[in-house]
Amino acid sequence: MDIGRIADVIAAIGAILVAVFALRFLRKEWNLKGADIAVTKVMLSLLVIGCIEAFLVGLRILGQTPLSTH
Amino acid sequence: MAAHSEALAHGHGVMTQEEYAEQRDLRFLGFLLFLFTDSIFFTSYIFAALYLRSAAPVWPPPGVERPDVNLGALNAIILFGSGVTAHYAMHRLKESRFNGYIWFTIATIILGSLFLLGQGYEYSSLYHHGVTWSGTTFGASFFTLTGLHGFHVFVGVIYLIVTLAQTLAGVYSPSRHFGLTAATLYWHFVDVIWVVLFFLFYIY
Repeated sequence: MDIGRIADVIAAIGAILVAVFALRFLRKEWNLKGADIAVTKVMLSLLVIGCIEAFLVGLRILGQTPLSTH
Repeated sequence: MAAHSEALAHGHGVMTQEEYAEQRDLRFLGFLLFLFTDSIFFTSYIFAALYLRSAAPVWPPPGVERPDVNLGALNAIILFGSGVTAHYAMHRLKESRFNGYIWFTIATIILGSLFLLGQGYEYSSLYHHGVTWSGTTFGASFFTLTGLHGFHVFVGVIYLIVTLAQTLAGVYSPSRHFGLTAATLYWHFVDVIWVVLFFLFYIY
């Protein structure tokens, strides 16, 4: 197994773990009030999107295009 | 007198809980404005990178190595993971579980430092493949944006170390901890910026 593949596997597994914890926090704090909590919810939601990105890269679905042309 | 000493020990002078809440709201507003201006700063550079990209017939320009997406994903997950540990640390402090706060903050600092090391490795790897700041528009936009972000991560690591030292010195308590809230929000902000940059340079 090459280093790139190992990095992919770690990224994919890590993405699932981080997303699960972030979603748990979101669920826990969803009904709480307060400006700082509202900002945190937005940040955690975007973090979950980042985890989806990293997960798809780990699965080699995204990010494999070497050049893009217009 | 005892209340006065306690308030001073927490670094807030003589302040009732209501006064503290009012000050906290004002500080929070100021901090949000800081994050807003910082996000405008990043947005302007992101749009500059998008403009350069749209103006180029091929992106990255021919002969320019694209950053390693596998390493990028690994590095991204290290940073996103640090966001979760930072959040855990904040919760532990709110629950008066100081040991948990300390360990999760140390984990965040380590993960943030690992991210910076990964970025340093990536820079050296790209440099050896001929991608430099002044060489191409791709190099200029990549190094400017990721360098700016890396600087923010570096500042965040220092910020977390300072808040950890302050907590150990008794500055923050489970009921009064705005500095820690700000540090955690700043760290989340740094995470979120990387979500965008990761997409821009590694995926798009």
